[in-house]
Amino acid sequence: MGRRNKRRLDFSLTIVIIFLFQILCFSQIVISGSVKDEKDNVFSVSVILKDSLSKFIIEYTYSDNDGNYQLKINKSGKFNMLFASLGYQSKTVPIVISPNQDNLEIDVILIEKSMDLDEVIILAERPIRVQNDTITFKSKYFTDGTEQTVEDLLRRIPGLQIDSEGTIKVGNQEIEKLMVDGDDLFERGYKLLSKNMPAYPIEEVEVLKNYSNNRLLKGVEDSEKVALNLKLDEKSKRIWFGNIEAGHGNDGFYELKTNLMNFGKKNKYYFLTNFNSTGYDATGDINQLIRPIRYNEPASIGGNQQVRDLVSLAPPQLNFKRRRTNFNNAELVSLNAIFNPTEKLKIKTLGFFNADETDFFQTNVQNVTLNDVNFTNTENFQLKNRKLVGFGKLDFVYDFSKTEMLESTTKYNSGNFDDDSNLLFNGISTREDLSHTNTLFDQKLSYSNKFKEKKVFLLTGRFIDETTPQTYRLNQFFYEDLFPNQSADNVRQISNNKMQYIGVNAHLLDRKANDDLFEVQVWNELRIDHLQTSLELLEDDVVSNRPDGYQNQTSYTVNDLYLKSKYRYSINDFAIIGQVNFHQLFNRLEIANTSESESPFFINPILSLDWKINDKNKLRSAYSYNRTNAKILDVYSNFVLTGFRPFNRGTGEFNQLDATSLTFNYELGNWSSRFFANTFVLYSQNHDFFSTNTFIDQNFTQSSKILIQDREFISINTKVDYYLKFISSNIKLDLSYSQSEFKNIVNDSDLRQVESTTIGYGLELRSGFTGWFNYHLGTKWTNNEIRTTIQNSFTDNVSFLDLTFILNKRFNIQMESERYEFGNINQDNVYYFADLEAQYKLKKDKWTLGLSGKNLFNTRQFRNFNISDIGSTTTTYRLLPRYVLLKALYRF
Amino acid sequence: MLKIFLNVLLLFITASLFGQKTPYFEAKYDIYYNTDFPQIRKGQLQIDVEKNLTIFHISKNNNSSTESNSAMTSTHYGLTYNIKYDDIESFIEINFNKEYIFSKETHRNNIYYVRDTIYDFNWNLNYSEEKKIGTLLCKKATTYFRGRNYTAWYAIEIPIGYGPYKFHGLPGLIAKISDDTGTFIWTLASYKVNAEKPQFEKNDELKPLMSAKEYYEEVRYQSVTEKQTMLQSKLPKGIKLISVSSDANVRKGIEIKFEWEEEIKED
Repeated sequence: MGRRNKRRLDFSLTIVIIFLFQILCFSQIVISGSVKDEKDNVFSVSVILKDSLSKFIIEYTYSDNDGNYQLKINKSGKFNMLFASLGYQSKTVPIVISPNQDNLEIDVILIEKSMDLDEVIILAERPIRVQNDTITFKSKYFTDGTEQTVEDLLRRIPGLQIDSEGTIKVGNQEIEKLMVDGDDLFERGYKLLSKNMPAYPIEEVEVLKNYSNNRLLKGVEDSEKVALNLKLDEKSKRIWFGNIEAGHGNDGFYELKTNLMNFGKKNKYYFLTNFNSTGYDATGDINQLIRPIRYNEPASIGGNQQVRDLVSLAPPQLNFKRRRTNFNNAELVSLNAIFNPTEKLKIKTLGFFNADETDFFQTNVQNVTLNDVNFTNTENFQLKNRKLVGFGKLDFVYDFSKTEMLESTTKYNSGNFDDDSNLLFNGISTREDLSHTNTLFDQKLSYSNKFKEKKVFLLTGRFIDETTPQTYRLNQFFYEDLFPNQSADNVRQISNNKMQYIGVNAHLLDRKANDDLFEVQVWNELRIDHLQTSLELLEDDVVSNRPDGYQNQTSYTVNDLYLKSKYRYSINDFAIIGQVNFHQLFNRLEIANTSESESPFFINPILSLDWKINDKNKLRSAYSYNRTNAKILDVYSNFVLTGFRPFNRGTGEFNQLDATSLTFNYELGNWSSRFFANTFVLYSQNHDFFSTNTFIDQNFTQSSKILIQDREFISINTKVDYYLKFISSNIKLDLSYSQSEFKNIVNDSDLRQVESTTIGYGLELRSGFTGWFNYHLGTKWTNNEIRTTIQNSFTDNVSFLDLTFILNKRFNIQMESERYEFGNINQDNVYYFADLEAQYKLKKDKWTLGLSGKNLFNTRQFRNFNISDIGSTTTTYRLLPRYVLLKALYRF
Repeated sequence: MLKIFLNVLLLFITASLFGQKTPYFEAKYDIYYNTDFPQIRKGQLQIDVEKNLTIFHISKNNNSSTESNSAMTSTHYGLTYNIKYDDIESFIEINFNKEYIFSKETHRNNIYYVRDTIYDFNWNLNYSEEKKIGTLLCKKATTYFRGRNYTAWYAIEIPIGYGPYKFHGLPGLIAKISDDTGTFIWTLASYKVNAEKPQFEKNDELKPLMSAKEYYEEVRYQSVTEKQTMLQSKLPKGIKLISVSSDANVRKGIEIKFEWEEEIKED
């Protein structure tokens, strides 16, 4: 080369070096360049400037359509520049930027690499899994650690709506039950669980749509139900949680409620107590657990079999809150548990013990005006009911396989009741004493087999044994006219109503390919009733007579073998459901020493149609012809004392009663639209029915059941809703008309026709404000009229005003007030009531303070007016006085 | 010395070419809407890399029934009502060169075409966390977009700066993005580098066309949902309100707060 060339080379190299490594100012260094491949075309190359450890990305950009890029940086140091593009090998260029660097140019040529030209599937863990009707949410993706209770956790699972009372809905439908690892203790009382169980052991939340209580019926029976299942973390230890609520008020009013729960993967326990003197009947909560309401559910046989008490000393049903007249002192303790010893076996136990003492006070003035009999009776009535009830239930569920299972339920109930009344009857001091017990044993076995994909066969058997012995004592003798020449001064009646029931049911459900459902059921129900009553007339403690005609030894056996078949046929928006039930009865009635039997056969058809004319008009109609068989309390033949005045007896013979009923329902508009009207018409005619032939005397009545033809009943009810936009409120109009006529015989009259008409009209206005205030007010008039040979009528009015104040998330106040006005009473016929509830949640939801005030106007008594076909009655009830309770709830 | 330099340069130039790839990229996503009616839908992102055009198709929800209805059924425990609207497909088309977004929105059974501006995402990449989504190694980024905070995971090995919905501008393809409340989650299900040419909408056929501001103010988020107050006022007696879930004023879509609303506040 030579010296001259070498100098030139050095010079060029220096220039190249200078050209390549420019000194930049410290403030803003621009790195730019071009990125190409060998063919000179590259698009969308990502240019990333990372720190020297390639951990953090400092700057990045993409090359433009010409392959040029530009990055700006303020720092100096060592960096890596990464050039990447699809289809090429990515290239990392380490660079050093010195503090006084000029702009940098880095050009890069990328080498192609072979790419997988097929679709690449990414398998990643999904936060939500959807499989047919089950949606599974992994809770860790939705929580942030601040959730305390299951309710807090469920609020985080979007798609679940939890309202302020804690009602859990999926979309807009309330869940059937909240299960924990497939176990359910509470049915619809799930709030006890969601509001108290801690959230941390929950790993997954499953939403089960189209839920069936019997897992084998899923997809076969028609079900819109939805349920939730919480899956516990394997590692979670056995946790104890629950709450205690205590309240104390004036005059000794108190309330103490505790809930204690312990849930583990295999076993779960729930313990609850309720002690109160505020009129609250806690067994209402328990009823869900004892008699889970399953309407029309397959395999629900025997659910309606019950023994009725002959004599009953209990407060009557009133048309306002029972709490107001229920002077009580109740104690309820209940323990429930679920065991899962093996994967195939599940055991559920439930037990409760309830003791209650309630008082009831009423004054009665009864006017009887018949053609020949006219009198007035006054009663001053103080009732004390004491009860002691123990109940136990044991459930077994055994899965033979995926398609076969067996369920067994055993119930035992023992109740001890003591009812005393202190009565001033027309000035005569009277005492009634009713002591009775109720012993129930109930065993049910249910076998389900899903023998084909959409076909299920169920076989159920049930045995019930219930007895209710009663002893009724009356310390006066009012029946001289019935038993002349008797020296007696008190009365005693010993009775026992016993029932044994054995039922077997075979049920086949077949869901066809076109989604029609075909069901056929064969039932055999055998029910044996024994009724024994004995009336004793006593002088002091010595039985002086057991009068004839007042003793019963009746045994009534009914065996009903029947076939139920149902088919639902639908075309587009029109559906017809046809149901035919065939009954073959074997009846046997034994009275004293005589017995009779009969074996009638009859068919009960039901035809209903469902027609959705269009989005705004819907029509539903049903026709049914129903024949029913007489029950034990219809057939016994001698008189039974059922109170201190009334004697009752049945017909003493077999009877089947026929009835035709027709219903019609029309919906105009949509519930969610501004205007909505719903009309319901029911017409029923009883071709035969039981009425009474009564002999009325001032001191007693004697009523015999008789069979009469033709009773008609019609009821029409219309509800109209209209939303008024300018006040954001909904106005509701409620009109009802019902008329019934029946016939009876009183005091040897001819068959009298009694017509009873009730007309109701009501108006309501409810707000839909989204702020802190809401109101709901309404008024309703009811007009009752009874016509026989005389005419009697009265009009009542009930008005109410409810106010809601939600001041913030922690504090809310509810106010409810009512006004009652009774017609036909001259004085004291207007009553006002007001109740107040306030709640304040302290931090972290562990403590909640409450204030509860009931009957703030301190209305002490309440007078009611009633008419009947023989006269009228004015009753005055004593009410719980005003009380204010200060409550505190602690959750742990 | 110069010879060596030139030789090295020549080496760089020689390269072997492999199979032709197209300028179209396709990625499929699973979209989880954890809203009042939880749904899972499929999204398909088609990218024309050369022309800087993307279109994101959102499928119909397969699980819902195809009729829209509103029914009230009286159960033994009260009333339940359901309002279901028909499910319709929608799309979002973004033209980065011409700087506009055309999207098809559906609200209560009605179709609207909306023109929006491209949002300039301010991504925070200052995270060292890495996560594997399938076989892709992804890095974390966060941003704020119209009322929600999002966390995204992007794959550097797929250097395509686009993502589902309207998200774009990361150094790699967005493999997963979700908002902090967990209500909306987009997850990459598959991708293909050699895809068919995407079908873009004929823009003059998109009628009625309105601006994003018009759509959100007048259609999607009216000031008070009349329906909500109406339904609340129809509840029967005995159903008490202990706290009002002011659903009516809560915006439930993906975009819930807008730039034009924040501008007004500054005045």
